[in-house]
Amino acid sequence: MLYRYLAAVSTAMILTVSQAAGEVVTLYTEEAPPYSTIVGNRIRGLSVDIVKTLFDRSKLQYEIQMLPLKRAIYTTLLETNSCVFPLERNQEREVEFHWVSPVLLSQTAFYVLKNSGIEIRTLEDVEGYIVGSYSGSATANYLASQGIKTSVIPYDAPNIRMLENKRIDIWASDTLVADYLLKQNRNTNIEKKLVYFTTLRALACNLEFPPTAIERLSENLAEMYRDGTIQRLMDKYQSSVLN
Amino acid sequence: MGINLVRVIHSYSGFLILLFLSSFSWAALPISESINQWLDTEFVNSTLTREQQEKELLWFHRVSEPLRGMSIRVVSERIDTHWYEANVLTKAFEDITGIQVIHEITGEDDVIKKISTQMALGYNLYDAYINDSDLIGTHFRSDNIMAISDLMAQHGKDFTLPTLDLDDFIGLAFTTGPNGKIYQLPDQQFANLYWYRHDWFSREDFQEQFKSRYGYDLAVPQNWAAYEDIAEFFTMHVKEIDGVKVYGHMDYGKNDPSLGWRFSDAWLSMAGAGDKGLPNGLPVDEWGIRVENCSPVGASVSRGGALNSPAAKFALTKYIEWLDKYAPPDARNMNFSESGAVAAQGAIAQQIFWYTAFTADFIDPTLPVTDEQGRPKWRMAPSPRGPYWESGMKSGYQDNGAWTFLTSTPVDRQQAAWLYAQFVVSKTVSLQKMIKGLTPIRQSDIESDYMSKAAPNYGGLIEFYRSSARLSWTPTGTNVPDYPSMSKLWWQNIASAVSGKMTAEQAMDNLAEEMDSELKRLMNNAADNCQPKLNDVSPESTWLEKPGSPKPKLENEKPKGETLPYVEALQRWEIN
Repeated sequence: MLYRYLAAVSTAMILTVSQAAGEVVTLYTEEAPPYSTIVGNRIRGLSVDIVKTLFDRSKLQYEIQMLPLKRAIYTTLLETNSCVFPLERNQEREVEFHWVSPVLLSQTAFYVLKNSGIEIRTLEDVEGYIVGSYSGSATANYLASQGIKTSVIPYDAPNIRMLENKRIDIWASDTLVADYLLKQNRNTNIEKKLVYFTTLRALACNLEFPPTAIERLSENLAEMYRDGTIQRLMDKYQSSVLN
Repeated sequence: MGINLVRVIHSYSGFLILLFLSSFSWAALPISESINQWLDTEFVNSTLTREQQEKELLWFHRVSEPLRGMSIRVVSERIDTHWYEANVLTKAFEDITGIQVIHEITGEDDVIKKISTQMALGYNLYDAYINDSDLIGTHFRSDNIMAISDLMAQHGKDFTLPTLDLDDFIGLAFTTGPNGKIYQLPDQQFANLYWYRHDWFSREDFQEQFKSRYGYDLAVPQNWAAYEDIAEFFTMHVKEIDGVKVYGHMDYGKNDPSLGWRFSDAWLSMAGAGDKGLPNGLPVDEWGIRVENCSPVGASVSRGGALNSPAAKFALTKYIEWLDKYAPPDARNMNFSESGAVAAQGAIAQQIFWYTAFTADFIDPTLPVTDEQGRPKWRMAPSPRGPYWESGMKSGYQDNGAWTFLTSTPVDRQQAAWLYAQFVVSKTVSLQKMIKGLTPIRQSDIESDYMSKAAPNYGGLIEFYRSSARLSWTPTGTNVPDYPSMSKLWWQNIASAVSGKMTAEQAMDNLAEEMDSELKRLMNNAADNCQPKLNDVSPESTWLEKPGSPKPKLENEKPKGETLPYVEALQRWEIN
């Protein structure tokens, strides 16, 4: 299920209000539970719930499609009335999109096999090892830019098997995603080491996306932080991952 | 065991041993041994005596007792100095204090996005930031910043290093608000200076050819006219040296947030767009913003600013013209980081806007820009000035990355982060850190015997920092009331001009209009704390006819080129 190349569509119909450019906004996301995943024939997850609430509050029509991350980014660069989420916002990507940020605050950590003997106190300590990540992830680019040897595959989940089979030495992954995947796999042979990077994850929209809609979305997102909506959603998903 | 252990480890060879060393902790040792290990192996250069160093490190160990076991998180931009902190100093600090520090490194723009997010949402993303003092105008107007002065007087009092010696910091004025409060603690500083190949400039054949073509000596350019002539000379006339294509200019032009720094850092002041007066020009600063009684009143000429003045438009025009005519073709597709090391590859004759943060990357003995003894074939010198520049004006930019604390961070985490901040700037550590990153913060380090001996290896860096000229190289000042929201306007508009979507004139007009709109938004949003109070729009001639900035267009924007021999050029640092 997790590795299937799958495009699913979830559409919200808000029939009574106007919206950006008079069209339905296409929102692309990736299979990355618990942020976003397909349950039955619906797309669900923490970031999906946040973005749905955000668009509902902003009275914008939308549909959500699931694509591999790299393709989701590329498609959003080309399609006028589209956005991708939850994308890691960084300086290299800044000029490519209009940003509504942050829809999520996330962290990335290094994971190793227990008893591997690998000790990681700082980023420098992973030099000389092969670090696994996945295509489209800002993590892989960040590590590679520091001269760290990375192994990049299309999806993140198989990195668990890559680590167990010692095809990589270290797995670099989002902490919430990794904790979820390890729990799903009932894996107790992998342990978290250094949580080395914090990321602002955002809704990244095509540069032709109407600025007024970006403004409205940004204002409503800020309000969702102020009124506790974001925290409630995060608490809900974090407790479901940990328990 | 300590020294013996190190010897035993070094007596082995191979990959695993290296890995072991890199992550090895001396925390398990008794504290005196752990301290001695770090003093023996890392902090070997210091302006303190060994006894004073031990005393200082023991102080860190003692006061950290109630915070031991904590793990804190800080963030900074991506330069050598901060990598040294993140990879080495965090380990030393943890071994001595028992406090783990995760020191994240990221792009400068990302640092600004993150501190803005924490300020806006109140979420404790980080326990401290190394944030450029360019944000001082934002910070002193904000309720979200825990000023260092307040921290030291309140919950940081018992955690303030007795030997911190604030008077020793050369950049404290840049982190102090108009109210006299110190908001940030300097961690590293670097300037943008002129860089050139001293060996090429010294060649008799090039000197003769240049003089015969341009009528004056090939030497350190004092004005933009000479810089332009030298750029043309190497790119169009010398063309090749030892079979390698060479260029008379290097810069960067990629659509990227760092393109904005290239301008907001100092380019307009180097052209001479602002007013006289340090640190930033008064009443019009290097952003072209006019200020009255500490309140910004406009950026466009029609409101008394200079952002779309003839001098500002000239500055952008020349930047694009030189990028197109004299720089390597790839330069326009590069950002700040990508372009930084290009001149070190040996094909660039000079660079007008060169950050000294790259010095450490330019003294590698394997590079074509160093000689057989590993000494630089290049020099840094005072930046040439544009035709609108007048004596008494800001001459360039100085980056001052400084420790910044937010009120949304829990008190115990602020205390732990305050200890780490002081550790990485302490006199035990600071000279060694300066040697690694060449971004000095302490007068005592600059004046040290070590630096006197090492100065010839650094191509003029120490001479610059020992001169009073460094006071004319300044960060963005207090006139910019919201750096995060205003700084992005620079790169968005400059990029339009570089790509040809707009002319230089249109880009600066648009930038000035957007900057005024932003000032207006801030005027409407904020309490009365030096907040913007926009002037009414007047005919531009009203302002251009008054003395000072904005200045009317010069009839001749390219006077005769002026150059000086290197030694005399350095003496100008003292004069100005």
